[in-house]
Amino acid sequence: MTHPEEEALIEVAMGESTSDSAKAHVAGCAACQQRVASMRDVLADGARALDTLTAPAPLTRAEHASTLRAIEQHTKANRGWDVPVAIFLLAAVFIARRATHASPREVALALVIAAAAMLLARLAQRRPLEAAIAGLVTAFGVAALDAAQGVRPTFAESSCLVFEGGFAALATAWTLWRGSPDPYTVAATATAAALGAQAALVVTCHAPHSLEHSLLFHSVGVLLSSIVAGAAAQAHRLRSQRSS
Amino acid sequence: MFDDVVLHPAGPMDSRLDDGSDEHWMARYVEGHPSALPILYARYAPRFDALFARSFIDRSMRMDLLQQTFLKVHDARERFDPNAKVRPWLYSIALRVRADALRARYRSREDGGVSLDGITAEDPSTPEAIERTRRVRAALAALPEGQRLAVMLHQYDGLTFAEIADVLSDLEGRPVREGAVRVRAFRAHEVLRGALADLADEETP
Repeated sequence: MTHPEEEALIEVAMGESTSDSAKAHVAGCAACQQRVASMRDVLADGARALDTLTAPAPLTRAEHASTLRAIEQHTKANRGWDVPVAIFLLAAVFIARRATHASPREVALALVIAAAAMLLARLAQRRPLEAAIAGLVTAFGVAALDAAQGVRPTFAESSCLVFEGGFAALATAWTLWRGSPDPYTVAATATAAALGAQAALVVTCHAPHSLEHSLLFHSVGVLLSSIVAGAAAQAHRLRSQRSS
Repeated sequence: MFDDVVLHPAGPMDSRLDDGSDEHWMARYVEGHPSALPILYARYAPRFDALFARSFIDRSMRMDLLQQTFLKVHDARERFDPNAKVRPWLYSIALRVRADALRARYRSREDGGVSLDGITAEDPSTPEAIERTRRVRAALAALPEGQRLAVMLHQYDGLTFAEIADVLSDLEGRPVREGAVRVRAFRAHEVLRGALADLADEETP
């Protein structure tokens, strides 16, 4: 006679067996009945041991309410339009200041990119990964469009990186201050903010608009902003966990 | 809204606490329904508090872990599979938060931390009860994590073995069969029984 596997006998001992053949076998096999009885003793003794332990007093309702309020603050901070609109307005201010020196096509392109940055900052709150990818694709796509705009005079090239980094830093600081702890959300928001800066650079950048410049100092700036902001948010989170 | 759920159990929100499955409220949550998070919180926060309390005595720490858990839930809500069960998904998030906190404590303490130091004796009035508690705690702490979670989630949190299999599959990153979870739980019971065998012998007249 072939006895059921131990796993099947444990199921029978726990009263959770769905195997009719195992149950039928145990019913007709004295050795297996004895084994199942022994298993039931083990389970009963183990459960009795666990029953002797109890956890400390649970949190009070007031403590739960306080915790929930904190969660509510974080989640509300995570679904506002403040950061997206701020990104668009900041970009629009820079675009407006240089609008008279730019062609209507440049201004229109800049405003469209700024609007895209705003929508991506909003998307970052719900789907950070998709928002970050879309932001980076847009940033590198814009470089190709921007490169066709012509040649302009002075502006230290690294200033473009600083300009984008400034936008991203503001958005990162704001997002962290408002309480969003998720590094992906912070990184995606910084990506959108740097893209907003890139929109402004379409009309404010004084460097020669070669493809190389647009890629290296505009698009890569967006990528760096994303990476640095994500790392900063992760460091911030680890610091908070350690201090708590 | 939050106070309605937690502070005023007889309030209008209470009827909704029992209405609708977790899956229903999770779907509403993903849609952005404002009542969904408070309801899921009211259903699960006391359970997660009990889970955390077995590892952390400090109440502010437990509140912080609850906050972290539900913020992770909030951040991950879009990635929740609408065909999946909510309870194992929530538990796997809570257990990951607990594991991170235990690791942080392990790093910060020379003794390596005791993961079950929140558990106390139900009746610590006698030396025997205190000794029994110490032994059970030690036996639980010595179990492999998979066995300990299987037995604790079943015994203390009331999860079915199928749900525990989902949780462990998520945590371990590989499929864990329901039958395998039962075997792990049984092994844990064997260890507990063995750890207390001499105490049981002494109690036997």
